[in-house]
Amino acid sequence: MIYTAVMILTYVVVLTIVLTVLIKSLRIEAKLSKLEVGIKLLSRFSRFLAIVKVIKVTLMRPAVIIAIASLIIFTLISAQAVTAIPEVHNIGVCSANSPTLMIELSKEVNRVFIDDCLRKVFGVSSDCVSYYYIYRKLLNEPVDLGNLGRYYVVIVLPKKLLKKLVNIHCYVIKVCGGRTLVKNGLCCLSSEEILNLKLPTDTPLLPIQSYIGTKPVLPPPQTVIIFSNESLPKVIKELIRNSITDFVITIRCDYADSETINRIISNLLKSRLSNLIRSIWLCINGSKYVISKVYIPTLRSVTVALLTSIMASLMIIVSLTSLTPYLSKIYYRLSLVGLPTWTVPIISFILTSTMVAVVSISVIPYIVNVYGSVSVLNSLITLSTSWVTSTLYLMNRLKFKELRTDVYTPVTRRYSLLLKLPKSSVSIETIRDVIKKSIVTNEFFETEEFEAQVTDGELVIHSRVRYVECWGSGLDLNIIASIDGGKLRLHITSYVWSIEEISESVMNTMLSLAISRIIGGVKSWI
Amino acid sequence: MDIDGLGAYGIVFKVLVRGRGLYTAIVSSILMTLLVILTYERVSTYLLYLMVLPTALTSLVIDEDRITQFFNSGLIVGASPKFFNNAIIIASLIYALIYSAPYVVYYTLSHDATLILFVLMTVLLCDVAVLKTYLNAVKRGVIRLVM
Repeated sequence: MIYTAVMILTYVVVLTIVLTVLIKSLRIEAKLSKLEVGIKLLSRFSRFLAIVKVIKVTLMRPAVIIAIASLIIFTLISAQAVTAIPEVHNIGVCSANSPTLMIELSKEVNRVFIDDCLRKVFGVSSDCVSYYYIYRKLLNEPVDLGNLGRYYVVIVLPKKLLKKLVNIHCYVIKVCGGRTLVKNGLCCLSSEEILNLKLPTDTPLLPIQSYIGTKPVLPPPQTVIIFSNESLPKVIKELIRNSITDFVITIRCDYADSETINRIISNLLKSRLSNLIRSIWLCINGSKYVISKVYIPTLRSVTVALLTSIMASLMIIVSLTSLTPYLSKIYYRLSLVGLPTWTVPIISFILTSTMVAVVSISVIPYIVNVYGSVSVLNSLITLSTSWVTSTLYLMNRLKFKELRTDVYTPVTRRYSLLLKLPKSSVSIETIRDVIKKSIVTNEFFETEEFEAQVTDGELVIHSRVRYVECWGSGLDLNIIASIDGGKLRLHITSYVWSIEEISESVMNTMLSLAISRIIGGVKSWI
Repeated sequence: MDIDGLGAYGIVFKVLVRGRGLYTAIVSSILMTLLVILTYERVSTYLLYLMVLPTALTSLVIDEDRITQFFNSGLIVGASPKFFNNAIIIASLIYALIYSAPYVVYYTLSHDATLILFVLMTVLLCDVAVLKTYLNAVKRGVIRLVM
């Protein structure tokens, strides 16, 4: 239910973004309809070209490649984290005395890996547990065994199990008429006998191809050859390469009740074998069960999906943050040559969509084939969350804050200020001290002269300061201040001088540095 | 202060602390630890190992400007190649230690320390390679400026 809600919410958010951008662009385009058709098409094409070029150069940046790589990895982690839930079906009776499990694997697996997994599943309680490893393979091309013939189905069983099945000590079993023991350990069985050979879980020894109703379809016995694992021809050894396709577990512990078996099955499905198990056959208390895996989104798998979404989003956002100055620079340059501002969200949208699309196209088919369709849903959570987050982030980060551009404002030589004083009791002498401090402590100037006089409540200051960064240059400042009705009137007049010709920019710098300090000093004091 | 002296290495820490890369690395490391705990024995070890690569590179990419600025200033004031090499190794080692934290948790679950060593080596090598690339790019820029 939560899962569906998340998917619907994601869909609605994405749809809203797409529609908003579409409507916005259509509205703006509609305004251009009065223009001539040729001009309109040309402008549209140039805009389209600009968008494509921006996306192309951005996608080549290392940060984008890193973001795509991280998205691929986290999507795969999300897909692998989907948990299997066992589904149990009772399918009849079973003759095995001890609880027996037969695990069918979906592909050939190295037995060392199986050994390692089973050691972890059973742990210390493996004393009363015995395993049989089986290799059953239906080949596309027949294997040529010289005098023995050509076979499509190869089965390799442990010596003990083979003896238990046919009650004779054999190395090789094949169909060749009646039941006769031939020299060198070759046993001949009839077709019916081979078809009736059953594993300890009462399942056919021959690999089941499909079912007609409940009846299994088995390969023709003439095409089957069965070997004991103790003496294998070189061809078969090369074919199986120490791998197995099924294994049988027999539990002879006294305490092996249903609960113990459930725990073993649960551990098997949680182990690294989980993705390799096709089905489990179980014989217990005279009943036969088949356990198949059902992949459903569990709380744990959804948590992993959300965590990978956060990680992937974080990686993309971090990569996009490093790209932002680069993109802003491109947008600014393009805006100067006439690219409209509404193209910015479109570029952001296409950029993030392309990144997610590249990952989806490369990873989703692989996930469907290897982990199944349910894993795709988990991966889609990661992909869609990352897409929405990165698109919103990039759009927000790159939008133009304002349309105006900075223009040159000439620095004034005369400055008048009217400030409201906090207290009416502020004396003009205090203002004098504040202005004096601002001038004397200015690190860009060295005070050569400072004169101040208060006459009838009016303060007159004259100061000559020398600019320390430039030889033989300075300013003469004339300041008049008066307090009237709780308000401070401040008039500053300045005159820049230099013993040699200086540029206008240096003069402006000097003016700004001197006047801004005085005004700043008075304002901050108030 | 001596340009190559011990105090100069403080600048390396200052650059790391003031950048966003270190904090990204710490947050990523925490999230990766959670991911390792939740996906232990469910997700392939290769994928858990691989996820450190883009994550480690991202921490450097986000601070590209700051790092190149640091190299640029260092080259202008005449810091020695030894200082840069040491600075690169110190920074890479800090990142490698941060990123190996999730794999220490993995070790407590699996008792297999190989992944920690692999991650330490990978992050160290990747970061050193990327930082060296940045340094060489800055060097080329400074040479062009001087000529």
